[in-house]
Amino acid sequence: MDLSNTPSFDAPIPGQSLTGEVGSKPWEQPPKLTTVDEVISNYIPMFEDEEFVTELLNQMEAGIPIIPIVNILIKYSVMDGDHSLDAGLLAAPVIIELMINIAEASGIKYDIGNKTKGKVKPSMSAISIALKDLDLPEEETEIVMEIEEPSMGLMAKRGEEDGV
Amino acid sequence: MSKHIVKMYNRLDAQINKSPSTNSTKSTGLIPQRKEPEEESDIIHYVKQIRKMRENNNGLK
Repeated sequence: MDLSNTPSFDAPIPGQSLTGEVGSKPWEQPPKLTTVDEVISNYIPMFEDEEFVTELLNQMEAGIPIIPIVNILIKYSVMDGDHSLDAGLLAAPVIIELMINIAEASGIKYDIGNKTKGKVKPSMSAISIALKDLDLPEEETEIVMEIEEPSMGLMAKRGEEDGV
Repeated sequence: MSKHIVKMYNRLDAQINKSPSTNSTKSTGLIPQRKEPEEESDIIHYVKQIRKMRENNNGLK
């Protein structure tokens, strides 16, 4: 059963964010950390936490690029009202570099995720699957060969036989 | 947001990798012209420091 087209009831109702009191959510409050220095120093203790580092290394080893991980970290802190999105964005390169340091120190292959990939050509198997999904009716193409039969009537056009 | 982070990181990386201009500017007049030292932003400074630290660690291995 294909679940991709089934409606999800876990999603918030449109306009739900406007039903609460203004300022009741942490991200609606003024951020706790306002400068980039403060934001960076907020993230550095994370890298001293053994549990966090182990989990981070597992993610990197699984092939997850660093930038999406940093993205999640920043968004989570914004949601908590720690800092603004802009300050998080400015601190992102420093967090990326710290993660690279950890990966290299542990001897783990990592992917930053900053390289834009070119156009990926679909494989032949993917094309054949896509064509199967289309279920196009096979058109029977009949090649009709029209052969002119020589007319035998009296009013028939004179042809090459007559030498005209 | 990831797109913005990628853009920011690539721009910063390019700025760091750019060869620093060590040549002094030629003075054309009697008074030599002095170029003001370019002030690095905090983030570039941090990134440079972290990279230097990494190079040192890799050198020790």
